[in-house]
Amino acid sequence: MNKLRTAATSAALALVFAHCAPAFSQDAGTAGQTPPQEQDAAEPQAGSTGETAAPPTGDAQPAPAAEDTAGQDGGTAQKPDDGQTAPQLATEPTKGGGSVEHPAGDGEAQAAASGDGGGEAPAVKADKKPDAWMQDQNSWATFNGDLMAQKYSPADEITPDNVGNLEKVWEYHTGDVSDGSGDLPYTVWSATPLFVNNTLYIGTPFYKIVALEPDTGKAKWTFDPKAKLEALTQPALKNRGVAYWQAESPEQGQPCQKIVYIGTMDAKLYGVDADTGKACENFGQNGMVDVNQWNTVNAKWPLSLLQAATVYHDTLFLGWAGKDWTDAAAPPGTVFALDAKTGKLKWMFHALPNEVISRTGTSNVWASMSVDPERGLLYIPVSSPSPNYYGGNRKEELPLATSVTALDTDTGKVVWSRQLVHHDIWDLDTDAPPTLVDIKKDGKTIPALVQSGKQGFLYVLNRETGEPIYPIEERPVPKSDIPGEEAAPTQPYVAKPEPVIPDQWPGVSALADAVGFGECSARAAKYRYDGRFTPPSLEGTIAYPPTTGGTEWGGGAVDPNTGIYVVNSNSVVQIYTLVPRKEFEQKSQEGETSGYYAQGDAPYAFKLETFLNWAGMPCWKGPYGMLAAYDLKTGERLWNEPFGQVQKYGFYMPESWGSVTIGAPVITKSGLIFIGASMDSRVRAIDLKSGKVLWKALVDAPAVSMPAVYTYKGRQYVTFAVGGNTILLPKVADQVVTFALPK
Amino acid sequence: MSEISEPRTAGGAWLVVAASAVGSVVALVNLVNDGNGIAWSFGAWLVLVSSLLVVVAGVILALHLALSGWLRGVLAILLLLGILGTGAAAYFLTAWILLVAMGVALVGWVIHVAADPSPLD
Repeated sequence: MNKLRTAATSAALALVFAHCAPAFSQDAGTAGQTPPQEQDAAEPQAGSTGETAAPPTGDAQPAPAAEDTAGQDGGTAQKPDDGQTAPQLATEPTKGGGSVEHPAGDGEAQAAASGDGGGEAPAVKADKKPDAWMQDQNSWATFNGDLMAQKYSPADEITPDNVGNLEKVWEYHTGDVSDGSGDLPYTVWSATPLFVNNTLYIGTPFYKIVALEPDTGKAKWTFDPKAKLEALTQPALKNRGVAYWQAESPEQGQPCQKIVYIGTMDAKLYGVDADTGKACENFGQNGMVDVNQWNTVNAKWPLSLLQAATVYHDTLFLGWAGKDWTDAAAPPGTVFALDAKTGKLKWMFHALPNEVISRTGTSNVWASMSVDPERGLLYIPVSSPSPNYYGGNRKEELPLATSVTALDTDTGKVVWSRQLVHHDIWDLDTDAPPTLVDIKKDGKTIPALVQSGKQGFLYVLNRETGEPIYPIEERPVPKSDIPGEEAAPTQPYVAKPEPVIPDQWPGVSALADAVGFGECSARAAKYRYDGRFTPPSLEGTIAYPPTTGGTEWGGGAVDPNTGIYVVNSNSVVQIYTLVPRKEFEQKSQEGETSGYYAQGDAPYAFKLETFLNWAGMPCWKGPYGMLAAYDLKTGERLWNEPFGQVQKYGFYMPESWGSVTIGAPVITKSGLIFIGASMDSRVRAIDLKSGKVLWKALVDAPAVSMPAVYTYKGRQYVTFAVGGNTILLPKVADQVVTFALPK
Repeated sequence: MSEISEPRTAGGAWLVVAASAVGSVVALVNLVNDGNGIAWSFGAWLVLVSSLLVVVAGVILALHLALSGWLRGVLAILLLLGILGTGAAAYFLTAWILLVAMGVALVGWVIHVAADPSPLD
């Protein structure tokens, strides 16, 4: 039976991997159609993404300050809709070659930006503290549960002993779903519901906001911005939730003392009264801020607002997603700080120096961010620069690219930055929010952060300074053999904590090789592979981990009391092949460029393929997805278990094979992990101590999100948004489902 | 090898028919019951069709339809493959009732072969 299962597993995995290549990155989009809109705003109801070349310095990078102060120009401004235009901005340099813009004449902002507030090593600041409303232990107030991205709930009603009794208490269907068969692009829904203000808020892939009663799932109101439902920058309609803000002292009877925000693919940010669902007139223009007004450099596509904003005091921090596969010069990475009440720009951070933006772009922040509320620091995961796989035209040091960087929340200035991949030519974006936690180690309490990433390393850093708590060493890595390319001679390497994936690619699957009559081993022998960070090549390079990760945008969760950190990961092999421009153009004329990416006018286009045999079976050994727990106090891995099951044609494959995962875990005080993420359309509760599955339930599609855990009227609830992702399974859904113990 | 003879009883074949008929109903329910994780999947269709084929084969054997001895033998072997294949598919679909049904059908097949007729002669 095992052999039968193995064979069936391999076959079942085939199509999964065949389609998972571009979807983990900020992918080129395809045109969609604008559908008819359905509901009016606030109508009561009954019922990059994913996205570097520098000789390494190795150490924590209080990066060199940039000399240039000029604003970024040279691009074609994309006019925003609705008459919103950018005010005059003043630019100041910051560390790492970055810069910060703020409204000219804004004395307060200017003083803050040029004053002592930015760029200094921060200690706990007397005037900094968490927002009081966010401190409610019963709530799930942000995308990651809290600002520190711990994904931790102090709720303890549901325990390892009683979790087996968990039952579904309600489900709600948003109606916002598309399998791509009609006029609309397919939907990818990875929203985390927020529970705050006694209401469950969730965003949909049609960019609506739905407010639900937390115990019954009955809709309170729905806000429909009537957004363009077109695949402008992504191949699918995507949403990763909403953000919530409330005034420190809300005025009774006044609207918009509490606001829920949602962004759209075409760069519009809407602010809606959290109690009524009506647009906040004072937020931007009639409740909308067009972020594209600041998209003025290499403005080839809109700055898609797919990830919920990060809210701290009265400021919204916004990153964006785009397409980093198609162009060389692209919109350069920016993070916006907006006034939560008015939508006015406070500051705008640029990760790339002005000199390079005619040749590169992105290095944006498309994943969520975290904040140390007591130090006033914003931690941003910065992605790789464009084009993704050839850096011959961007050989300058770009210290902030593919980095984790700490910004001063008041000024936007870089406090410290650590580059995680030098001269990134693998699309190894820093793709998840750093998890902030205080670690008790060697008798000291260290303010730390844990940064996961596509390369499968876990960087444990002092979050005040960026210095490693566990060593990060610079190791020599293979040279590029591509004319014009200069791979970095060394790359940062983390041995402890042990990486989430092995150092070497898993090797050829005997079964897939047999089915392919030796195809897998023959191809593997032909490809270039010299270990981690083998550069893309003309003959094809085995990339492990490739752009799929490693770890994806969900990142990990931590129990702040014990320092136990949990993270899910993927083990996927892809082939990176550079294609000379002339050859690519020839293929283009012949219509043979499926799976190819132009990379703008770079000397090389790029071909990305997942390593499969003729039958579509993965040529490498499993398992394909894992869930692991680490003790941050010692850096030791406590357990590492295959997670989830592959499902294909309805058939479930052995648990020992694991599943590629998209989503993130949540930890509760009682010692449970709640997680969806797997392709078998199941959500699970796992024992934090052992990694064993204690409970699982079937849902409508893969729950490619992280759950929200909250307590309402004394009862603990676990809510999943179940939306599916066609790279896992050709199954999409619009289900919000909540579980609790029987009353 | 003995001479071809009419079976003394068809109890085993009828057990195959009964079990696979139950299995077909279960497979049909699995196919149309949205939310079970396998509804409308290729695998759900596959086990429905294979269950029905097992029913048909079982009926042919049970009713002693005019088949030559070697055809009955071939049919019995195909029936076994159908039962085992459907059972294996049910296992991968986590369709446990169907798996049990195929287990019962397998018992019926053994009875048919061992105690009913001599299908292979």
